[in-house]
Amino acid sequence: MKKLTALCLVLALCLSAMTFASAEATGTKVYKTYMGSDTPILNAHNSVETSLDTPTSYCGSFLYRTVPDEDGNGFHYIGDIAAELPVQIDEVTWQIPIRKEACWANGDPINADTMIYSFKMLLDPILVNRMADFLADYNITIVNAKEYNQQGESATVAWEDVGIKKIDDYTIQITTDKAYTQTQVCSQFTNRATAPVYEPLYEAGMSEDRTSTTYGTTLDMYMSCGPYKIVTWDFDNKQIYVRNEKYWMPELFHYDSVDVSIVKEMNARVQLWEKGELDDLSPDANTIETYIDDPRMVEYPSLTVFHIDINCKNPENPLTANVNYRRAMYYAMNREVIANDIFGYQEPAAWYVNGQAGILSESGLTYRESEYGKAVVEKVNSNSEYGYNPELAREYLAKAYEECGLAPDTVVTLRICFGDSETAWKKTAEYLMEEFPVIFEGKIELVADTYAGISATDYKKSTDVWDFSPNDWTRGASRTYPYTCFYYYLESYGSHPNNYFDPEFEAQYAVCESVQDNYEEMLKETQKLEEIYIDKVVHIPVVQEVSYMMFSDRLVLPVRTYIPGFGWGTIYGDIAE
Amino acid sequence: MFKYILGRIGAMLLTLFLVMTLSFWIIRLMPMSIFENPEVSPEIQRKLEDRMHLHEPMAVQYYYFIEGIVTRGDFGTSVKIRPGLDVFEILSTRIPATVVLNVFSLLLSIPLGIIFGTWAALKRNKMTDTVISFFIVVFISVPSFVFASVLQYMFTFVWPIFPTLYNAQSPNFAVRLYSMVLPIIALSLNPIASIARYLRGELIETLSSDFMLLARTKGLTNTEATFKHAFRNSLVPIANTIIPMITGIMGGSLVIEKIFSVNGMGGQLIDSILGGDHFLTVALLIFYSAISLFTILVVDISYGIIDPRIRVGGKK
Repeated sequence: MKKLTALCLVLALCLSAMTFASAEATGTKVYKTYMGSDTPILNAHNSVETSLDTPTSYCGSFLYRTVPDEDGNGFHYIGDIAAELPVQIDEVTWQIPIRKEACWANGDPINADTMIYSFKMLLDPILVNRMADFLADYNITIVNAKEYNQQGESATVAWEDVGIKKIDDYTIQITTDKAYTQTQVCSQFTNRATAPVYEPLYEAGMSEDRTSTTYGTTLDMYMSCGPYKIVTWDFDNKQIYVRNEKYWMPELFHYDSVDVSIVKEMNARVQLWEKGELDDLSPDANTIETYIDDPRMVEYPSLTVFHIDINCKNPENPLTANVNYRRAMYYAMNREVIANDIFGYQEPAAWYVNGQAGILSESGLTYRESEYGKAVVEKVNSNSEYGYNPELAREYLAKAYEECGLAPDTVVTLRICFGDSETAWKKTAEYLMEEFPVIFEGKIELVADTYAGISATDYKKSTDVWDFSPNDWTRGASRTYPYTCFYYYLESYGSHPNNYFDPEFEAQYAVCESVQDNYEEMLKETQKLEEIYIDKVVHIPVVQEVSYMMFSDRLVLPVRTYIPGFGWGTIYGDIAE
Repeated sequence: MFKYILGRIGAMLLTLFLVMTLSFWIIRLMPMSIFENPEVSPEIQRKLEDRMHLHEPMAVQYYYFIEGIVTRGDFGTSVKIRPGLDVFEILSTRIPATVVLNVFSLLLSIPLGIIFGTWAALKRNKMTDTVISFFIVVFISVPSFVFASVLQYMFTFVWPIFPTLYNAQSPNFAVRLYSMVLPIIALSLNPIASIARYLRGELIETLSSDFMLLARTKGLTNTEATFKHAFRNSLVPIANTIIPMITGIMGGSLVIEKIFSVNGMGGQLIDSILGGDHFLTVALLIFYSAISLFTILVVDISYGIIDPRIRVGGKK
């Protein structure tokens, strides 16, 4: 027995030593955070994954950087690799001076040649980088950049024709298609795709035919140039960043290191949070109830308005293209139940322009806060609470029946399709399957079709036999121009998720585009666009996503509240001693 | 025997080729766009698809695939999970963690399974047998992720003895192994129960055989008779259970690896299928098929080693 006790004691000692050893691995001011999935590649040119934001923000630098205002209520742009804000030469020409002290983590200089090489590679027509549009045509449009990028091997547009030029070793010049503001130019060059790439490694990883590069696929094929450098990348387990001693603005950053765990399971995240091993936590729908009254919990509207696309080409649905049928479906949606009881702690939305839209405008006023956005809400709520009015729904359905020549006792079966892992939509479908027969007095039946292993777009390409398809596509540019959140629903967008196109809607979108430099006018026109959208029911808006976040007491944030387009600024945070 | 093994290896290679061909065609026939993303312009998506010959007829795509393998030994590169990396390079980075996890799980489950199985058989219909059988049923019927979650909650949160997640960074193997204790236990419970259940059943049947009565009559003690005669006879059927466990150590465990953030093979196949990472999917299917075929071969050969009466083309 004594031997056993002694053995147990020795074992316990060893275990404690091992726990201590693993906890010692990091530094003093360590920001401990997590990601739900790892970054597939560190090359920002060729990955659309948002998980790349984390490594790029810590170990990448850009021409410009957003930093929090001193009062913590907003943010502004400063030069990062750029020595100062862009200098306007004429209406469409901007010169960007580059810092002489900017360099890579190994000390190699970053200059105009570095930036020109990086932009040329990003736009390279043979490499076909997926993020090319984020430089060519996003907040600003650079002359001939898109044409150069998309010419393939035809070589009709030379690099010299693109509006990106080296003026001297420390100055580059950008030529745009029309006049833009200084803020718009800055915002284009804060995008992760515009971070410079390290030429020796980019070229070392280049394939013989120059169609691909292995830059950023592994740690030794990547070079940091940001405030931190990545020292550990155990794929699907951990990323560790430590301070980059070569970085030129160290005073902005306060952590000694950043420890990013890849934690796929929510339960594990909660346990780490409760043990103080995470400095932030974003609860999911199942966890939120536990923390909803926690004073550390903060919420903010996201860019997403969950909505349902409607098919107007279902050969098995006799009502499919009828506008009154679409209106009936719009008014049959009890958004309060779906947002609160099914999605959980979300906001019902009978409109489509999201809560962040417009926040990056000159005035900082969101569209939804403006008189125009509010007018749409008031109009919707005047005859229905959040667009739910069963009586109106029945009236519109009766009209649709009449217009389509259906006998009043005809029963129409509608099909809602969604991915088998979309839990909230599955519950929504089940709820609507019970609700629709009641609302429409047995005339409408809803059945669910699920798919696995393919996207909604692919499923809809494979069949026309569907009526409703849940969606959550968002457009980041709507933060500056609210009307652009309708971008994917234009006929001109090649991969549109819907198949309903309305000439009046398309024309109004063009009007918004034409007045986008006059913010007040744009908001006014956006109101008209949103009213057409609701009247024609381009699709059915359902829920405005509300994001929730908790931060540990030891984490000192640089902002007072969530700032759309900037976030919480955790990279500029500090650890309380 | 040598000819038999050579023949089987030949058949294995042919089967692998068929698996590769079938999986290539099936995966490519899935109605999905690899590069679909609302943020990427349709023009760029089309160009990327053209580069992968996705707009060509299937036979042409298959030709390019086979040409790559034959001329350059190139099974392709990942396009989604780890873009730009060779598919077998991805596998090689993920296999070690899975192998360590599974090897230690086996080292735990085989002896414990044998001990509990034998113990239950020797104490048949007594309280010991009832208790062991109860736990066997529990460990077999309750999914391993339930135990994994419970273990994680109890031993990392309520009693914080172990770390919540796998520590892949430590240069010290003992530290890494220590952070893997809970996933090893969670992964072992089902195999322990499976081995114990098979062995108990086989041993009970063998112990009541006539030759056991003869062995006892010859003067052997109960223990001698059990281990010299009954035990070896009972190993043949359970070889079917244990050997796949040994060869399957590179297979990975989807849920347990996910719960403890073990960056192993678990979930790679599902991720690659859902992500439309065609080349990686085919490579994984080849890899798993090779493991299965090798397992079957080893099981067949092992019969002859465990029980000399079972020999292919044995002495006439």
